[in-house]
Amino acid sequence: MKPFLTIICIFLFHIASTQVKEVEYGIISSDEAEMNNYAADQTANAVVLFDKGASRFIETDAYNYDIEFNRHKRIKIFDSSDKENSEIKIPYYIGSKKRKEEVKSIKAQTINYVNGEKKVTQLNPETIYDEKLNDDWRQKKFVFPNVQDGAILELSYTVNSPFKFNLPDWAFQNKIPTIYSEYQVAMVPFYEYSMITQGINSFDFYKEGLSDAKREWGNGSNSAYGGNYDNRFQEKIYTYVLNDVPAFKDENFITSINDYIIKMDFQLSKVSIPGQLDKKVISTWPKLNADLLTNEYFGFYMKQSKRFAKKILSEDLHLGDKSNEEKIAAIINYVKENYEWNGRKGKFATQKAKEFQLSKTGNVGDINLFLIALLNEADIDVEPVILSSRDHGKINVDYPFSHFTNYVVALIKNKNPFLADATDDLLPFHRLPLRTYNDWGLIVNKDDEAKWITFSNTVESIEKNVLTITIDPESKTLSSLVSIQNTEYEAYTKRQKYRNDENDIEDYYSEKVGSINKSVHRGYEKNNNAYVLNFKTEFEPEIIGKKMLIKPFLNLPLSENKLTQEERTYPVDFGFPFNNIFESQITIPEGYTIDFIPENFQKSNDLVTINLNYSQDGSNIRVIGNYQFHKAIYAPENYQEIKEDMDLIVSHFNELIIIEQE
Amino acid sequence: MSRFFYAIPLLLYFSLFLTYPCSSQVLDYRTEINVDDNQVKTTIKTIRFQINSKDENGLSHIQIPHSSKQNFTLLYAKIFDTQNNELRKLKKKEVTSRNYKTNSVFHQDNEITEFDLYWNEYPYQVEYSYEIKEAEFIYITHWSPLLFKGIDSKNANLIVTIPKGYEVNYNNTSSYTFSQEELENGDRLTWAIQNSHHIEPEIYGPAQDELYESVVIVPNNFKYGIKGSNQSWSSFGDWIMRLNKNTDILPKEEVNQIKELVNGITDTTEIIRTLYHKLQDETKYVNVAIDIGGLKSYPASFVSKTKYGDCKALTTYMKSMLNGLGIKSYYTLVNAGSKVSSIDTSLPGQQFNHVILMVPQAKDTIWLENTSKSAPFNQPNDFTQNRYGLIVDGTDSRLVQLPRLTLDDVLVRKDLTIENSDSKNNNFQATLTLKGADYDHLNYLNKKGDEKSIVINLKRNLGFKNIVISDWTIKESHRDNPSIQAIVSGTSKDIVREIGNMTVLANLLIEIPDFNRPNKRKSPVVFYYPLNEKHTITFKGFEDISKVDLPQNINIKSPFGHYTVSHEIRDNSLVSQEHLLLFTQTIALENYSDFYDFIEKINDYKTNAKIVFQ
Repeated sequence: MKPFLTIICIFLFHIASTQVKEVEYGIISSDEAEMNNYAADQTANAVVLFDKGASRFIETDAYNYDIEFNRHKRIKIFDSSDKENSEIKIPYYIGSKKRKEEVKSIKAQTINYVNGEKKVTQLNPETIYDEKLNDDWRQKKFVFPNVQDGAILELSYTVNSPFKFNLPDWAFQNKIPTIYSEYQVAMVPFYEYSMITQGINSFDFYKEGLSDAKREWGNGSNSAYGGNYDNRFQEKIYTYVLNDVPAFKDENFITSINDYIIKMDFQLSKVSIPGQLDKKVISTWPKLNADLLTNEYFGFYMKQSKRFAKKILSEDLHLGDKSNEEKIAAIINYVKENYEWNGRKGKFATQKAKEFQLSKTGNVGDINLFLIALLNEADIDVEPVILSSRDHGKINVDYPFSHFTNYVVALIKNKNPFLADATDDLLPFHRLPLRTYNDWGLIVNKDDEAKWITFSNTVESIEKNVLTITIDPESKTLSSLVSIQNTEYEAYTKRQKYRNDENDIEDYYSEKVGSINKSVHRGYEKNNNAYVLNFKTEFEPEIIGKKMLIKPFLNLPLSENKLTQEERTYPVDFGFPFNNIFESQITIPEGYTIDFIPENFQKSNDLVTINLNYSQDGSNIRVIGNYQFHKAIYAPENYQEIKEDMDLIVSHFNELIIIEQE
Repeated sequence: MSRFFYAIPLLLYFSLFLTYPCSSQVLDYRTEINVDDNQVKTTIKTIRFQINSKDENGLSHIQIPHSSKQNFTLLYAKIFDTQNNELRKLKKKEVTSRNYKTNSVFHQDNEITEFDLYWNEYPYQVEYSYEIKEAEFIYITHWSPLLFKGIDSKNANLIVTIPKGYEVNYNNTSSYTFSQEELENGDRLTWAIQNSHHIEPEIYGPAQDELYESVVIVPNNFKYGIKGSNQSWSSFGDWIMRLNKNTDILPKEEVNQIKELVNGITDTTEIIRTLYHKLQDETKYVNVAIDIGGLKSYPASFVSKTKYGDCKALTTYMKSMLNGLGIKSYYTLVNAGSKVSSIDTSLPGQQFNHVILMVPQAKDTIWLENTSKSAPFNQPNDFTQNRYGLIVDGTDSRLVQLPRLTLDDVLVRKDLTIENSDSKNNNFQATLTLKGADYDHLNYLNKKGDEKSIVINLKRNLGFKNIVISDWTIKESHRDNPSIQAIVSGTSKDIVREIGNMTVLANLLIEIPDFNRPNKRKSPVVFYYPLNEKHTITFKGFEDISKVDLPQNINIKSPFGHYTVSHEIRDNSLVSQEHLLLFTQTIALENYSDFYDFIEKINDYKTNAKIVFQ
């Protein structure tokens, strides 16, 4: 017999005294009935009493198996006003009309205790709704009936799947605490899976063993294909249990909850049908690469794209005399300008190359694989790189699972190699969208060894604010010329946010710079250049008696510390390193004297640089400063320091100069 | 928080709630509606718009919502250049569909049909046309020439053909060219309008749909589930009542339980209150809009078993409980929303999106909002106050004015004490007593137990920046008292500022809305309910505070409202009291300058009335 399950995980197996919990639908213990809070988390509105899942393979015909997944879950409700816990959604996949997943045997009931008396309300099957999410996915959804404080919700259902690649994963952790979570997988010897766990040091219970009963494979004969072998087999059953799993508390500025939730994933790695050659579905990254390069919607799509690339190069691009660098820029910009990203990610194309040329819109795979084909056709050395976008969770490079990646970009191996993505026309040709910066990417080529590229954003983005302020002593207003020059991702985020729409820009900046009399913006169309916002404004300073209080940078600097948590266990991820520069020249009118100028301030270390300098030249005050965050991502141990730095910035950059009427 | 039922007209009014860059434009929007002799309505919409640059391509992702009762067909979708040469035609397999999803509805069977039509040379034009057939309908159209939010329309036409003898009632705003043509077998009504512009919302502006051109046409008689009539409010109300016939009957067993629950209570109001609390405690709002779910209520027996429902089902359930005790009550339709979209009283028919319950009493009338687990008994709220509601009472159905929020209903009090501290961060203690919309919001968060959102809400209510809250407590009043008190303590460096050699106290914290200068204001100012806010701020522990020159007290009065401030030294502490009152009112554009002057007087005073130590 072949191995059933390759277990790839970091924990130490630990067989504790915990046993598998035996439960029966509808049989509620007095502890469950009487429970009125969860001691380990008194803030929880509900707790999962148990969540048991079991997957097994069922024979659909003589030589084929479907996966049957059964789930049985019980939840205790402490506060029924939190509706999320009583609303159930069961997604299922539809590959085609012939082969699709099915959700069956949904049973649900609510058990309330009224004056000590058990009252059961069954789910009415007519209130189970079927919703179409898109062409591939649907979901069953319903609401538990009669959910009162103290209610117990019980649910069981079965999902049948013909898709062996969809052996259900299991999340041990929920947004509410979980007292007992168990997953059992009964493997047959014909399909081999790899398993990866996340956030688990050891299971509270783990067991593997053979089933008591023997099953028969095939049509009962042991001489299929002329062979003479034992066609009986025992399932190999794996059981995993975790107890008292805390609620997953969502925090700001994390890439994806997928990176942190306690779970296990499965990946089909080999198919071993008796009488047939073993088929390795995936075993190594190089093998995955080889599969991609022959896949209809990856390698073959790029090949298909060749003839369109040829045509575009000869008819539209005319790159004859250009250097390689110029060719590369022209090709990337051509794809950006002529095709529209539909907002969907994916490393595979979703249409045939010909269809993409007609629709001119597609997902990341459609666009970037075509870009690679076009670059190739122009004799540029280029290779695809697959990665996982920030919202998709981090890749673990030790485990060759295809579904860990959901994105493809181009590695251009020029004199100065760089990565390119043609899905966003607001970025320069040599810059990647922020969504791609997520640790690692795999170069897709025919090499026998996997080659990885790090995706970390080290490009410093600058916002330079230059202000020239004159004071009208009559109206007591500040007339200002304000220029805000943005480079790199500062420019990109502003291009993306405002789309150069004057109303939107003025709506936002009038709170920063005062009433805007005129605004001129430059560089929006040229994404390689700075995006400059210029304003002519009137700002009303604070007046106290004869004193005028002047903010040298108006309301442009950071005015409130956004880091408010006491402590933090996850990194702070700004997306990119940034440097905010300020220069202000203030002309003091006749009849006024300078009453107060704040003190200079400097601080610099590996994390942050802060400078603020005031100087006076006759009736002019010049204030120059900057705050610079050197890293895109700060480790949790740096949190307190950068939080304090933010406080310093808010405090110093909003200090006031005082002038007084003589 | 009040919730809405799924309102059919709104689904098609603005087909998308997305905004687009303003330079793109709908060139031609043509709607042809034909009602045939069998009273089947066929609507064909043909839309052509121009995309001028890649930035505007978002408009070429087309989404068409349609309901499950409608038979939808996409007729064609094409791209043209500006010379009208066809560049591309959409293929059938490029069209996808999915269920329509909104945050407020758990499940609905309406669908979105969607597709992309991009081109890579600009400008280009997209034209698409679709047909919707409906065998049953209650209105012919709620039509606006503006199809997409934020996008102007150059030419828009509505052509309605009805058979002989088919009676309709209609109303339209003033800018249309209207014509009527008699045909052999019927009549053709045509509305045309050019250059319809999107209007940017303004602070305290009217409800958006009040600003747009529109045509509303309803049939005098219709069949939607059952036969009905829009000829009068009484006939429309009668149809609603018949549609929902027998839904308000509670199972006998539950009637007995209710009788037991109120046993011993003699006062009818207290009985109603007890049942309302039962409704709030045992049921929750879940909106499932299927079939004719937009208008027909799930029966009370459904809610009795499931303990959930939408506003119709929960109201029906409440009504059925009262029925069980022989207390008469009336299902009341209302167009809910914090901005009041007025009901066109001359055009009876479906203009509502919510249901509440009216319970007439000898001395007064009780109004019940049945979707909220936290709303006080018989208290108006900003979602349903001060507008028409349709009392559904068979042929006696009628429009009535719903109670309005009074000055006392919205009074917000904030009492702050600031203790002098050696550090830059001064300690504060605040007692916030909230009513009206502020009460609704904090009460909702408190009931939900959402601590993170509560802290954000408290910071917003405190009215100054850079706050670190060290402790907070919510003191709930009785569940039927529409006020909530929060006691908050913490630090802030913005309330006492050290600037040069001065110490500046922030003693006037009422935030004045930031109104545009008169030359920029484009729409009337509407206060749908009053603003009434009182602050008392006490500064303690500041040496020599008695030597400070206090600003003049002030009392600014105008027809729009009042603003009053007083300062005094009391027990070696400085106490400033500030009161802002703005009445329920609509300020026409011609009076806006006067209103702006009033606001500017307040702002000028606040600028010059700072408390400063040298």
